[in-house]
Amino acid sequence: MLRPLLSRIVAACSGRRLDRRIDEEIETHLALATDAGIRRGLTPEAARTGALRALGGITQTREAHRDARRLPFVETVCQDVRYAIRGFRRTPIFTGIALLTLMLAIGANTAIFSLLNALVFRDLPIREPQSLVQVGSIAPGSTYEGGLTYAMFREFEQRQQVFSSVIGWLSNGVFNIASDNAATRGTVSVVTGNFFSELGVRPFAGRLLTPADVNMATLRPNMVAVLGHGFWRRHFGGDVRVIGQRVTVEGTVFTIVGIAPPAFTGLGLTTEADVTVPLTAYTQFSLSPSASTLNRPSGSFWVRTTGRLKPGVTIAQAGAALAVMWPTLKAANLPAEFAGAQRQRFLATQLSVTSAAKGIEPGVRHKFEAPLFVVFGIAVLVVTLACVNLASLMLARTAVRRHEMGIRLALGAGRGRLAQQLLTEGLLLSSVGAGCGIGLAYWSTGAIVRSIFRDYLVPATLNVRPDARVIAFTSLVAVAVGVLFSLAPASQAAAGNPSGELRHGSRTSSRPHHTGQVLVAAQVALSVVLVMSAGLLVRTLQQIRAVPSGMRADDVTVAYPSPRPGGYEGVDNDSYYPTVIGRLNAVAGVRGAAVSVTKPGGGGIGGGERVENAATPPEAGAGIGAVFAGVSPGFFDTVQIPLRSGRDFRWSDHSRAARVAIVSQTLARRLFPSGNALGQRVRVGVAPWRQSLEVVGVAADARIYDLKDSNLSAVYVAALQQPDSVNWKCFVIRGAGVSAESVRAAVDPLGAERIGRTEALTYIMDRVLLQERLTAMLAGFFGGLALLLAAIGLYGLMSYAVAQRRRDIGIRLALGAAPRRVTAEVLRDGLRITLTGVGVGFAAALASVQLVKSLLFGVTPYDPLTASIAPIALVIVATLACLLPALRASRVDPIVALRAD
Amino acid sequence: MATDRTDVLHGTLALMILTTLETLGPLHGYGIARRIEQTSGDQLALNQGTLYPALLRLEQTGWVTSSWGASENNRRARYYTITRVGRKQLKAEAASWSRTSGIIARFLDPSKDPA
Repeated sequence: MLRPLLSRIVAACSGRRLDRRIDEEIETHLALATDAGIRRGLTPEAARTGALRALGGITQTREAHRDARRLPFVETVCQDVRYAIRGFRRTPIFTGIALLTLMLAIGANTAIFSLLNALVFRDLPIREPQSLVQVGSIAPGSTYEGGLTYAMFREFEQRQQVFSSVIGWLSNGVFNIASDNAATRGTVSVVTGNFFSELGVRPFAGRLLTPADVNMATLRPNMVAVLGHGFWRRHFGGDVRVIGQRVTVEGTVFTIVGIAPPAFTGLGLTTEADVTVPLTAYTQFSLSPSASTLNRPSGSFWVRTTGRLKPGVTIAQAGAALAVMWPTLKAANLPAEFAGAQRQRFLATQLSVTSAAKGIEPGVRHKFEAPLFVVFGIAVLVVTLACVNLASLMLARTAVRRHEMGIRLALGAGRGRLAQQLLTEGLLLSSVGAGCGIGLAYWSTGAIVRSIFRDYLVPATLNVRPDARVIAFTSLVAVAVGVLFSLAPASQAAAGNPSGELRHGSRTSSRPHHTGQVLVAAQVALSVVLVMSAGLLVRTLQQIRAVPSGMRADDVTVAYPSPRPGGYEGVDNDSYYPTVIGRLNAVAGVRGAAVSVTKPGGGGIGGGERVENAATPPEAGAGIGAVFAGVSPGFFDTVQIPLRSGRDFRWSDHSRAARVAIVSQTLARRLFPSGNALGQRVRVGVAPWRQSLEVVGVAADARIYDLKDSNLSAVYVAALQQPDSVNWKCFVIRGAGVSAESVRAAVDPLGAERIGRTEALTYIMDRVLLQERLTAMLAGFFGGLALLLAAIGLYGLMSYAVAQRRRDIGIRLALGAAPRRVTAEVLRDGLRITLTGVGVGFAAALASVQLVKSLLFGVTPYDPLTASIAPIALVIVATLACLLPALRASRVDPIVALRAD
Repeated sequence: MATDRTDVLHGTLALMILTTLETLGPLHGYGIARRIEQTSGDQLALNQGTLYPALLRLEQTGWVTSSWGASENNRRARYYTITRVGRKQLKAEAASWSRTSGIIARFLDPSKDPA
C-alpha cells in the first residue's frame, strides 16, 4: 500500500500539472459527448447542455479529482502543526525557554561541527582530492614535516612508479610584492608546471602556469606570475587589464599572465597565494637556496611534494614502495661537504607518506584539532542535556494537558494520533530551534575564525560556510533531539486511559512523578560532568597564566622590520646592528633595546637544538635538547632575565670573532654537573659553525617562547654570529609608552628596512594562549549553560509538583501544618533528586575527565579544587531552583486551594 | 426517464471500469462512461464526472495506466489501459462480487435456496 501514498505525494507536488490534465480530459469528454449528441440529431447547443448534465458539472468533477489526489497524512500534519503553534502561543514562557535551549544547544553543536568539518573532515575543493598523497621528510628528533631537496625532487619524480604525476610546490612565504600601483607584503607560492592542471583549477582570467613556464630541466623559467583572486581584488580593484603588466617579488620582475579562481588556497586550507610563480624562479627572490646550487645535493628540504596515486594503487602500497627507494635517494643526494653529526643527521631523515586529501595545514590543525574534538564532545553532552531537560519540561506540560488529552481520546482520537501530535510538537520546536541555531553557529564560527587568524601577517581564513555535511548534521541532530525529547510524553500519551484522565482531572495529588524525577536527576548528573570538564579547562588556563616566564614582559614592545627592496644587499650586520640598536636606545623613554632572531613569547616556534659538551665525540641524537635563541647584546637586560655569572654578549662577538654562547642555569647544571660552565665549550646542533662555542655567561632560567614548555634548558648564541639572522629578526624594546612612530623614526631612515607592525610583548604572550583561552571560554560557556539547564529542569519539576499538590498542601496547612515544614519538604524532595544526580554524575565525571586529559596543563584530571567545586555549585544552584516552588508551597492559601476544583 | 435509474453502488465503479478496460482494451474516459451506461442498458445513473477521480485512484494503485492518444474524430484524449496487476485484481474482485451477489440473491429469492 506504499504505492498510492507515494503517487499521492508525487501528485501533491505536481498539482498544477494534474489540474491541466483533468481540464483537458473534461474538455475532450464534453467534445466527444457533444459530437455524439449531434449525431443523434440534437442541435449543437442542446447536445452540449446534455453532455454537461451527464458529466455532472465541470467544477464538481475537477474538485472530486482534486480530492482523489489529496494527501491525508500531510493534512493531519498541517493540522497538528497549527494546533501545536496555538498551544505554544498559550505557553510563551515554556516555548521561549525551549527554543532558547534548543538554539544554544544545537547552535553550539553546529558551530563546533562546522569548525571540525572545515579543519578535519572536509576534502580539499579540488579535483579528486582522495588520490593525492603528501611525501615529506622528518629530521631526527623533530616533528616538523619538511619536503625534499630540489635535486631529490627531480630524482624522485623520475624514479618513483606509484604516482601518475608529482607536484612540487612551496606555499605562502611572505615577501615584498610591488606593482605599478602599490607595494605590500604578501604570500608567494612557487609551483611546478603541473600544479594547476593536476588540481583541476581553471583560471578566473588569463591563463595559469604550465610546465613550459617552469622549465625544470634548464632551470630557466619564464618570469610569469598568476595573481590570487583576493589579492587582485584588493590591490588591482579587480581590473583584468593587469594581465600583461608587471609585478615584482623582492625586486624580481614577473609578468602577470592570469588570475587564480576565488578562494583557491592550493593544497592548504587557510591562505590564498597572493602571487604564484614558477618553482624554478624561487632562487631569484628568496635568500636560500641559491640558484647555483639548486640542482646539487643540499640540506635544504624545501620542495613540498605531492603525488597523484596511479589508479589501483593504495596509499599503503605507495608508502611501502617509497620506503624502499628512500635510503638510496638520500644517499645519492648527500652533500659531499656534510660530515660527522651533520651527515648522520641527513641520513637519518625519515620519510613521511600521508594523504593530502584534507589539505596540508599542519600548524592550525595541530593546535586546534584536539581541543575542537574535546569541545565537540562537550557540546554533544550539552545537547543530550538539553534533550533530557526538554523531555522533562514536555512531560510536565503533557501532564497539565492530561485533561485535554483525555477528552481527545474519549472523542475517538487514536492513541497513535495523540503521540503523533506530541511528536509534531517536539519536531516543530527542534527545527525552529535548529534554524536559529544555524544562524547562531554561522555568527559564532565567524567570530572564532576571525580571532584565530587575527594576527596573521597576511589575510587568512577558514571557510566555515555550512556545506551539505553541516546541514545534514544539524538536521540529524534536530530530528534526533525532537524525537528524543517527545518520546517520554508521547509514550505516556499513548498509554493514557481516557476515563481515568477525565475522572480525576487535576485532583490527583502525588509526588513528582517517577519519570520526571529520573530525567531531572539525569540532567544534574550530566551537568556535573560538564561543569567538571569545563572547570578543569578553566583551571588549565589559570595554571598556564601563573607560570613564571622568567622575563618581565610589561613595557616591552616588539617591532617587526621588513627589508626595503634590496635593502639588505651589502649591509654588514656587524656594523648595522650596533648602529640601529644605538639609535633605538636613544629614543626618548627607551630603557633597553636588542635584536632577537625569533620573536620572544610567540609560542613553540623557536625550535630547539641538541647541545653537548664539545669535548665528547659527536653523535647523532646525543646531547641535551635545549631551546635555541639568537640574541644581540642587551637582550637579557631588555626582557629582564638576570645573568647569574659571566657576561652578556658584546658587539665584539661579531661574525668574524670567536664563537660564544650563553646557557641557562639548568643547561649549565646538566652539561657540567661538576662545576663552572664558564669557559667550557659546547656543540650546538649540526651546523658546522656551531661545533665549538665558548660559554661566556650563564643566564637565569626563563621560558622565552613557550610557557607550557617544561624544558628550562636554553642556549643563546650571538645574533651577529647567526648567518641569515638579518632576515628573521625583530627588535625588542623596553620603555613605557614607546610608540611605533618613534621606533620607525629610529630605524627607517637607515634605509635598509622599514618597521611594519609593533606589538606589546604581553599581547604576544597572551595571543599564544589563544587555543587555551578559546577552549576554556567555550567549555566555560557550556558549563554555565549546563548549570542553567539543570536549574530550569529542577525548577520546572518542583513547580509542577507543587502545583499538582496544591490541594494536598492546602488541606495540611488548613489542619495546622507549619508552612516551614511544607517548604522544607519540597526542598528535601528537590535535594534528594539533586544528590542522586550529583552522585551518579560525579562517578561519570571521574571516568570521563580522561578525555580532556590531553588538554590539561598543571592540573590533574582529579584536581581536588574542581572536583569539590563542581558538586557544590550544583547543590547551590539546585537549592536556589527549588527555593521558589518551595516558598510558593508554603504560601498556598488553603481556602483557594480547596475551592479551586 | 431517469426516475427509476439506480445509483452506482459504492465500490462497484472500479469493478465496472476494470471490466470495461479488460473487455475493450485501451479506452478514454468518455468511452468508458458510454460503455458502462450501455452495458447497464441505460439503467444506471452514472454521474460521468465521478469516473475521473475513480480512474485517478486506480492509476495511483497501479491497476491501470494512462497515456495521451488520439480519439476517433482526432481529438487529444487520455487512454486508460488495464495493467497485469489490475487484471489479477479484477479476477479476485469479480469472484468475490459474484459470491456476494449470489448470497444476496438467495436471500431475496428463497425459492432458489438449495436447502
